[in-house]
Amino acid sequence: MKGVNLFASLKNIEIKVGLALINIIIMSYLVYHQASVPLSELFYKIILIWIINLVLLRLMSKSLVSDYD
Amino acid sequence: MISYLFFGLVGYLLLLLAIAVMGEREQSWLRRIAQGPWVYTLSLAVYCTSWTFFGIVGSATRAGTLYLAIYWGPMLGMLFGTVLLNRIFAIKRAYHITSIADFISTRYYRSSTIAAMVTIFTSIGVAPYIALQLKAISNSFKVLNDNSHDGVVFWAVEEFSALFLIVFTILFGLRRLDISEHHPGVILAMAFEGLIKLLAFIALGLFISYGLFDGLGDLFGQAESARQSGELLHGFNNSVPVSTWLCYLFLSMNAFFFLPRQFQVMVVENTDPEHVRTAQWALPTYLFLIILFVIPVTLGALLLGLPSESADSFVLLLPQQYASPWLTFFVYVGGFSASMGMVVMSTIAISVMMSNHLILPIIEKLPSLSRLRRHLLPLRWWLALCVLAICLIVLSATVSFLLAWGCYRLRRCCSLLPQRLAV
Repeated sequence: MKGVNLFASLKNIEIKVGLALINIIIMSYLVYHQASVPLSELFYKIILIWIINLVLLRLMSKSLVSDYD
Repeated sequence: MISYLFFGLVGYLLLLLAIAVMGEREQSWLRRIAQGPWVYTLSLAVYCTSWTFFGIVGSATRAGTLYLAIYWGPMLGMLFGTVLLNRIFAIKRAYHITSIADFISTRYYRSSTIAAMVTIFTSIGVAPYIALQLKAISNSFKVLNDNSHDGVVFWAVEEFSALFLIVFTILFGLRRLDISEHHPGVILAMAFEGLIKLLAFIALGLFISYGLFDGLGDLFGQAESARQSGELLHGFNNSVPVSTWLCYLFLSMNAFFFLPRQFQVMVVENTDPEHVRTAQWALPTYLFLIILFVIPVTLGALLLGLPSESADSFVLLLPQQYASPWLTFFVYVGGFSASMGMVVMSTIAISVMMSNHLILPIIEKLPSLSRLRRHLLPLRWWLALCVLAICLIVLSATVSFLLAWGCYRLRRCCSLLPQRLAV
């Protein structure tokens, strides 16, 4: 059975669109409910989501070599 | 206050000039750095103007986390950035694209009418934007001097800044005709400015979080008590409508790629498509760091009793009232850098577009003007001068209108602009 490389799959447009949609949904929910979330929780959640995004972007940039060939 | 601010600013401007000169020299080590991925990434931070530096805290005060959309949009854009930019770079190489007007007109068989229309629309759109950056420079100077001097001094600062920006733009952005439109000196200076504004905002955030409060825990604890007991943090007590959030997100994503200055830095000035690989994660990291302390700064200012009406000046008022003059000056320079980067890059982009897509077609159609073809370079200098002069006129006209008529609606509109377009 053939395996799928996680890094390589990150450059697929479907994965990118999925990540963008998840981001939009999570952040829309968070900012819509900002009034009912404690400020510290709001702050740390934003940081956490952003850092997860940064890690994914870093992995994507590592797996991009073939895009330039 | 005025003397140390003024001389400090002059020193900083001279440093920028030196960096730009070194960046232009062929054999200089700074020139090699200027063509690297880190300088490219930092120069993209020209996206963060004074509306980011000053306006973001005002936006957080009024609407809580809505400001995040302006920075979340570019980050989401960078998910697709490599695919999009690779195609744009390929088109740029094939058709020698030198501006956004050029790029759009290429899609329509290099239609000169389309290019001229794009140039006109972008110029009309960018002029008030540049004017507001110039206004931010003089306003920040005014805030730091407690509004204690007459208007002539602030007018002089505004004019002096505009004069320097014109000289800088012409010297390093429009001094020579180059088919590639690469300006390594300017890009290096923009990258340096990007670094300064980032460090200034982080220094301010650390000072408020750990200098004025006992860390983030203490700050959030006090803010939570204040939030439950009153209307102090009304910006965070209201929901952000999802439609507004999505509109901001979509607009900022597009603005990041297609504003004339962004296109100039991202596409036209790019020397190696491989740099996008670094920018793809490094630029969102930059944006993350520059907005990291927005909530702490906003909460700190409100808890310390600064009036929410002057929320756009919190970034300057806090160090002025509670910190050393050095931090105050550093923050002022950060704000100045944010304004200057936008003005310089926008002026270069608009001047190039105007000369290539408005003036040249007219010259070609009118034989009596054909000798002007040989003077394209001085023509661009005049155009840069005209762009900034128009911006100053727009600015003066707006200020006069506000003073003369005290129009509430326009003031309200101006105060909301940083919130709505804080990029």
